[in-house]
Amino acid sequence: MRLIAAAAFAVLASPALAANAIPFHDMIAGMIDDYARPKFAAFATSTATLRDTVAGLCRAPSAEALNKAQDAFRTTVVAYSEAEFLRMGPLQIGDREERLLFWPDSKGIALRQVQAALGSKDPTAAAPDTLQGKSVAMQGLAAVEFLLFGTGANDLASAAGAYRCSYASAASTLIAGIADTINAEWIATGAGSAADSMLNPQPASSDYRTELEVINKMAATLTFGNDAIRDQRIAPILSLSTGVPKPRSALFWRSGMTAKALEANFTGLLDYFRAARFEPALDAANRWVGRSIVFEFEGAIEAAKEVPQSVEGAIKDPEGMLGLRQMYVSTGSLDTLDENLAVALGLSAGFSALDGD
Amino acid sequence: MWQRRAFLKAAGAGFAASLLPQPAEALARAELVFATATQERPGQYGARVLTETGKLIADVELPVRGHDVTYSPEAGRAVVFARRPGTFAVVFDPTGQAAPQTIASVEGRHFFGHGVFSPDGRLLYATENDFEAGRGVLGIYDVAGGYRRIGEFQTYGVGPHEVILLPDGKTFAIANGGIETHPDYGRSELNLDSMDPSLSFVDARDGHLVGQLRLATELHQLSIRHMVVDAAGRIWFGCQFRGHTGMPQLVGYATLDGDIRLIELPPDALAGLRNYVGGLAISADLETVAVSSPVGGTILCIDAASAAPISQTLLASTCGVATDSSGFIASNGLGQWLGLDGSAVGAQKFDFQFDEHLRQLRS
Repeated sequence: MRLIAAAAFAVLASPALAANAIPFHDMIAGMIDDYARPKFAAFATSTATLRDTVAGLCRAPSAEALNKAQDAFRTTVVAYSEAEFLRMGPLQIGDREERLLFWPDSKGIALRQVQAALGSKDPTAAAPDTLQGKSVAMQGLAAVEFLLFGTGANDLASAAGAYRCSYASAASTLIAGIADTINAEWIATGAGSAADSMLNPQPASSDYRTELEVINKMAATLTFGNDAIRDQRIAPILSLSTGVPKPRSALFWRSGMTAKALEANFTGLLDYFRAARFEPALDAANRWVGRSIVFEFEGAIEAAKEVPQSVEGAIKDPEGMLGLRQMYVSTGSLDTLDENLAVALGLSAGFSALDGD
Repeated sequence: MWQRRAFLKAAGAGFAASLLPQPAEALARAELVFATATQERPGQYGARVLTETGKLIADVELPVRGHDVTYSPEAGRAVVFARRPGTFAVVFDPTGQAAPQTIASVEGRHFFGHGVFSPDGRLLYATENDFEAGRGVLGIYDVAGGYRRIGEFQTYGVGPHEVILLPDGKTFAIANGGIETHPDYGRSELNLDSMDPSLSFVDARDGHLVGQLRLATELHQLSIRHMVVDAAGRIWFGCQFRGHTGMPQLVGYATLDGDIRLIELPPDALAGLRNYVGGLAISADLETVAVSSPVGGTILCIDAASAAPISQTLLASTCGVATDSSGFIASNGLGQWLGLDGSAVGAQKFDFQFDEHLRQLRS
């Protein structure tokens, strides 16, 4: 088989590439050091607290212990929501992402499976080793949310919730374990580590062959994040196909964390954008793109703050609906700006890797 | 019977009146014509018809990204479908003379990005999603009736992507990608754990299922998405792997006799596709299959008879691949195109970006 490089395009390379004010290597390093590492470290810390507070609740059930576990869950949701859209590195290995959060779940699979386990007091769901081998929908954050906040969760404050608590403890232990692994893999720097594969791409690598491939994937993360926020988080609530909002299609509605998670999603993407130094990488003629992206993110974050804690309340409240719609519109504006960003950096993010067509 | 020269002659004659002398001359010389969806500028999308030297023949504006273009010389029209979950398709005159016409998806359905005309050019078929029932359909549109939707056939699967008409002129091959989507969830894929992709053969006359082929059960996350037909009548297909671990084979062929198999690409060729085939084309002599991967930035040419790869061309972000008179033309998201495998088309950079598919306009 002949290998042909399209060398003709060496002379046609986009002039924007040469004009980048920040070397690609520095952008990659910034993304790793100032985004991936601190965000996944925070996620690992929050899940360790979740694991420990749920274990504490199971040992000594009380209303206060339940509150602590619920608070730990809320902190975990924020930490995960700031980190979850990174399409590169340890989170993308195997089915870790689905194990941490099985979503979208348009058919309510997690709820059905968790309720079935509760109904039968399935012992294999109450120990990490056996839970790990069961459906991924039963072991992630959506499952833990139902256990800590869903119908019957008040039982957790007394011995009546012993089975439920051991299941929540098993699931929290698994989540903390994955978070710990991801954190350790991001910290690693040796040959073959995630950071090394991005900072030192090799032509024969199965991950990244060039720095340009890494940057393309980095830009695609922005597009993916926007699309995921719109298509998986906001659109199911608005249900534009029926015109009748569906508050129970919201992620984390039981814990009242829907809007907080959205706020953290946008905050995380803005932190990512800054850490990777996309804005300073643009030349003067394109600096407006970076400024506009920051402006849209900040607007979306403010809109999320306007949305009430209860999604049921939010859709009845004109201000709440306004906030959801504004965020929805922001994701569209950000899509176009991300296309501008790709063109300005000589990339093709919008047309390739994460498209699925 | 394909009448390429007749079309070009007509196109050139009709269009010359509105062109400057130089492009008119270029059009008269043109051998082949290609169509593609484009990103004109960030936030602005369209479709273009180009000669093989890159001269513009016709263009249309689109409100969002388009996907594939299909063409009927008999109808004298091309159709560009909105990218899934699209709510429109635009019918346009590839000679650029008549005004474009928009087809809106009907209630409860949206387009999946691909379609095909009947051989006589009287009907247009489009892959669509019956999203409440979660099943694929082929929408049927009456060309003479202003593209009115007059019915639908089942695709006998979920998430149909490309449909082609086989050389017998009466059988559709439909790639049911197996992935469930719903407009309330945008482009999100809702059933990756329970995917059931298949290749359906559907009778174009009454919509009955002639046959349906599936890969081995353990390959249920291999989404079958695009197809071409070779000289032996085999239906070559390209897949995208939605699983998490492993690197399964991605290219195979099926026959109307009920055979389906994945070919064994060597590890380096397979690795270059990065678990994702974005487009396929067949050479003019029907003996070489080209498969593209935008993820891997690779076009792989495969000898159809021996199923062995002939060449691997590296082109970043490439997805569009079209039949040239000899070899292929590949296009990409950076606005570049390039002839390969014997094509005489030179590398060229345009001031717009090519979207995923590039088609030679022929029946």
